[in-house]
Amino acid sequence: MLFGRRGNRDAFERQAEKVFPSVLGTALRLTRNRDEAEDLAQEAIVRAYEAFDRFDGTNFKAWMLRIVTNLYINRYRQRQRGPQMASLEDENIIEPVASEGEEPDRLLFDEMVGGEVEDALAKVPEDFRVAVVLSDIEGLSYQEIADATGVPIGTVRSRLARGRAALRRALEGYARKEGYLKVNE
Amino acid sequence: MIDRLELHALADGELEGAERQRVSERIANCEESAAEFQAIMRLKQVVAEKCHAPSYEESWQECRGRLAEIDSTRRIESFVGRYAWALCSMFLVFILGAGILNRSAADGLRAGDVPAMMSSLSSVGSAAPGEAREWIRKEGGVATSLESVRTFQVIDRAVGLHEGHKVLAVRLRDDVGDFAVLVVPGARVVDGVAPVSGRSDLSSGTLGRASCVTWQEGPVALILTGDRRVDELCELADALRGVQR
Repeated sequence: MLFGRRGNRDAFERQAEKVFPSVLGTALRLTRNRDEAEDLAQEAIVRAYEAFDRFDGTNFKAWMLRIVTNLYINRYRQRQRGPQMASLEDENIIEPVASEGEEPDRLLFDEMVGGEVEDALAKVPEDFRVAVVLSDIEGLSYQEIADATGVPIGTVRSRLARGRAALRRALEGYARKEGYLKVNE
Repeated sequence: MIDRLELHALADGELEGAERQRVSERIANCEESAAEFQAIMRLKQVVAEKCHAPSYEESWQECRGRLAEIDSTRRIESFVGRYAWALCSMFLVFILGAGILNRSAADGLRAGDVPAMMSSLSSVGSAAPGEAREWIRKEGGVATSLESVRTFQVIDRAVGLHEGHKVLAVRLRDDVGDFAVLVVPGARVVDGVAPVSGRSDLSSGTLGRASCVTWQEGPVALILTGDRRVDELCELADALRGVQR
């Protein structure tokens, strides 16, 4: 049995090492703090290892991201920042992602560097940011995001659309501040 | 303009079959929808391309350390959980065995036996201190300074057998009160006493209200007992032994 457990750990480590960059990256984008992100990611790994015998064997990355997101929602967010910052009252109002003209988009996306995109993403309200991170960075499906965040798929769709619109506005604001875009564009 | 949520769903690959076809056709026929769809796709692309994984190697090594700790703890818990009954049984057997061996040692005495020991003796009468000292030396095989250090009065002497041991007892009196010294050749006190603090040669214990101090003179066990403090009995013991402190 001891050999079996050792083999179990090897199997877990092999899979966990592959997805750990995503786990830590997601934790970092949720907490926006390196130390807290490392704590969160490590705690998620420990929780996952303890529950590894209950993993259904389908999508390890989605399972890990579900654990880290749940852990964040249940522990870190309540402790650190209290209630969510995004208003969900106007959930049916979906703003456009596109801007008025084509040129600003090209300028905006071509000039931006990674750190600036990360900064803009950090400005997106938390529930929307979680959806954008899990979808656009980690590639999770709507169902997997719904499972990870504990909300219906319809809410995931809404949060994604609103999160992207908010991200677009944050990117534009950043670009105007940095001079990539002129004020009248 | 098409429902924006459908455009996001198409961009995310969440639409299939007829629904996908329907939304694609609408995009092809609506400039505004097409622009929105393109903006969504560009935004997804820029996020995917420019948000990279952070450095993780050190943190991953810490994770591996924690997993190793968990395994180690699990192994110990598993072993203890599986063999707890055996460990407890072995421990119990060890305690019982040690106790039985201790009690069945041929030369072992217990301080708690002193009252029973004294009640089983037969009086041989009083004597002068010098005579009592000689009696102990002759019958018990041990020298004492019974008469030389302090003024003792020998009230009684007694002799008898207790659990196969010959026992001599001398009841003495000084200006504080009565006390007794028991001499048991070929024995040692193994139970009910503990070393006196700061003394490697004397042990002490309690017998109801009375205290006792024991020591060993070669193969002979001596027990001094009386209604006094341990330090007072230690002084008397030193006097009987002729020890200057």
